[in-house]
Amino acid sequence: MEGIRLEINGKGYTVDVSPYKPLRDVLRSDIGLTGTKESCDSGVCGVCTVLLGDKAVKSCLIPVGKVVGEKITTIEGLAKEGEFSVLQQSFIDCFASQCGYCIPGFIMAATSLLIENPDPTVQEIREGLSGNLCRCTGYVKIIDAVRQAAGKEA
Amino acid sequence: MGEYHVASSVEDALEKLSGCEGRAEIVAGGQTMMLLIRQGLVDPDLLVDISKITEIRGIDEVGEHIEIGAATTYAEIKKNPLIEKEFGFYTRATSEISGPQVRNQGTIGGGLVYGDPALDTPPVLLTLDAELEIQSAQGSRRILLEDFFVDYYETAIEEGEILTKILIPKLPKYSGGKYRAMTPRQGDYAIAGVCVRLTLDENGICTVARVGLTNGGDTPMRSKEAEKILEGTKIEEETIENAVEILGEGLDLIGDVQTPKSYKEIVFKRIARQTIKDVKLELEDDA
Repeated sequence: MEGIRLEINGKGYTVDVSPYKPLRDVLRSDIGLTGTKESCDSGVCGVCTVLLGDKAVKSCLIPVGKVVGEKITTIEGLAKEGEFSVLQQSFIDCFASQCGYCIPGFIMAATSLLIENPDPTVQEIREGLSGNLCRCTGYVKIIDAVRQAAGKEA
Repeated sequence: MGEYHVASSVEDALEKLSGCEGRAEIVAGGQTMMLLIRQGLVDPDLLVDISKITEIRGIDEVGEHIEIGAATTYAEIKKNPLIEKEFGFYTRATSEISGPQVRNQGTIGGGLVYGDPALDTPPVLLTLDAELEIQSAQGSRRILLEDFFVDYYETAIEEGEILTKILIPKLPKYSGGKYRAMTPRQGDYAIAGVCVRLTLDENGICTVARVGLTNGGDTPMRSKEAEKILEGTKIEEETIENAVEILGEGLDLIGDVQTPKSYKEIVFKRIARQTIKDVKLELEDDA
């Protein structure tokens, strides 16, 4: 067994696990990147959202054997040289988080949304985040945060 | 430990499948296969990943058909201008599927082979008279989507076969359609879903009616009885009522804690009535 090679946040890793293991579990247990959260385990809640290339996916539904050769980005990969991404800062400025558990997933989904559509309408933000659940905020401030970050992401 | 093989071509995938001594399964986007593995319903020795095979990805116009590769994702279908132009209601129905993350991975072929009666778009494809191309080591065969769904989570695909292509005939003039579903919340599974596609002649007489149902029974299904009532008519109020009534009788519903059978039946009839009316109105506006 030569291990599975992954590229996460620009760094190379080799893990010795079953290729059927969900990417989320590999990130959390084998690599120690616990910013990606675990909740419904069935592709509903969105807390485990990461990027494959520019696209948001739910890492509980991705067998790790699938992502060899792909560029994986997790919430830990967004800040550059100690500076939050525009979107992360916007979530802070808009008080978009209460308990915070769902927020890494929302930020990853919104990051992907803003790459595809840099200036989304409120309706487009709602649709873009419809794969993520928050049980505290009622979504209003989350949408505000994405709206505020839109257009600033250079 | 199981093996994971990313296939480079259909031929490569077929070879790998036939060479496996244990249980082999095909995976595309993984959005259903991962659930099946987690629930212990599938325990493969080999997973053959067909999602990167370029020959079964993408959307093309070929003569009077639109052909969609089985490994094309819902996200790709949703933003494809060709599909939007030919079957706009299919594009809009695709937006009902879960959320963006699942659409980025999930494939049209995966959703069909899964055979789940609760999915939104298989009934839409039924109303479009879609046909499937299936390949195996013996060659390829075609089957109408209508004949593909056999039973609860059971389809006509055999071991050693791969669904490669979905062929949809372009619609004739004066055609239109709509999918409407009732879901507890955006992106959730539908309690009930109805897709209606109508084609009229120049006098406004319905020549083809198709009514597809999500969660109406054990498989994605059509209400052929309702279709028959609509065809050959001008789709007046009374005709619609008769079609809705007979659609209700043909349902094979299972009640659950939140939604008893009687309630589901009311929902089906109501959205069927409204959807038939909407499509008729849309066609009248176009005429």
